[in-house]
Amino acid sequence: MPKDLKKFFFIDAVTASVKTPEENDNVVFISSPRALTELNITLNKVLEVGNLDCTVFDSLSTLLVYEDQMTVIRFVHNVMAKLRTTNSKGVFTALKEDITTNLMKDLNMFADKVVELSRIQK
Amino acid sequence: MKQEDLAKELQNLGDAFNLLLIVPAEKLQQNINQALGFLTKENGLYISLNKPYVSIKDELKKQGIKTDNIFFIDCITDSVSEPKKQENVLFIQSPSDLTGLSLAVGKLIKSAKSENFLLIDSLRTLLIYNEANTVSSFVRTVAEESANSKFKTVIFTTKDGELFKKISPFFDKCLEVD
Repeated sequence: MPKDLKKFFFIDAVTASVKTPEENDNVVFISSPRALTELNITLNKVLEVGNLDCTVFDSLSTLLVYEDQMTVIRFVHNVMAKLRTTNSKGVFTALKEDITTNLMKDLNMFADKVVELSRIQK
Repeated sequence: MKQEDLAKELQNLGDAFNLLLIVPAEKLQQNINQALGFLTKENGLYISLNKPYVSIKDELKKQGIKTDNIFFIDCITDSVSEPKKQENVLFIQSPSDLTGLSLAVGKLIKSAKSENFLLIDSLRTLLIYNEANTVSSFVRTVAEESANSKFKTVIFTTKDGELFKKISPFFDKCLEVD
C-alpha cells in the first residue's frame, strides 16, 4: 500500500456485496450500501476510537439509489451530528443532478457550507 | 422581506409575539444569527433541532452574539453520544421525541423567571422525524404556552406548503424572508 494511503481508514460498503473481501488492516467491510444501520454503527465506532481529522463520504447520491430520501436524510443528519460531537471534519459528495432533491435542500440546514464544484472551476 | 430587515420587524412586533419565519434552507443560519442579535438583549430559550448545542454556541460566538443568556434545549447530542451535564443545557433524546420536548418546553416556559424569548430551529427538521399532524399539535401547544407567558417566540422553518396551512393560524405573524 502506498505510504499516503496508510493515512486513510476505509469503510467499504460495496466490495462485500459482490464478493468475499480479503481482510485488511485499514478497511472495514459493510455488507451493502443499503445496510445503513451497520454503516452507522461502524462509523460511530471508528469515529470514537479512530482520532480522525476528516471523514469523506462518497457519495450521498449512491445512498439515494438504495434507500428512500427520508431514511437517507435521517442517516446523514445523524452522521453529521456525530462528526460535530467528535470534532471531526466531514466532506459529503453528491451529484449535481440531485441538487433539487429534498435531501440536498435539507442538508443546507445541517451542513456548514454547500459548495457547487462546477462554479469553482469557472 | 429582506434578511437585513428582520431585526426591524422584530422590534416593531412589541413585547410579546408569536412569529413564524419561513426562510430558504441555505440562509437559515444567517437568519437565526440576525434574530438572535435582537433577541439576546434579553434571556431566553433556544430549541436546537439541527445541530448539537456546542456547534451552535461556537457559531454564535464567531458572530459576536452572546450566549450566556441562552438556555439551550438540545435535541441532537443525546441521539449520537452521551452528553455531559451542563448548566444551561437540557438534552432531549432525539427530534422524534416530541412528547419529551413538549413537556420540557412547557415546564421551562411556565417556570421562566428571567427568560423572555423562545427560538425554534427549525420545524422542517421535526417533519423529517414526525408526522405533519403531530408537528402541528406541538406547534399549537408551544404557541399557546408562550403566548400565555408573554414570550417573544420566533419559530423558523423552510418552505413547506402543507405544514404552513396547518400551523399559520397559531401565529400573530408569518413572514417569508428572501
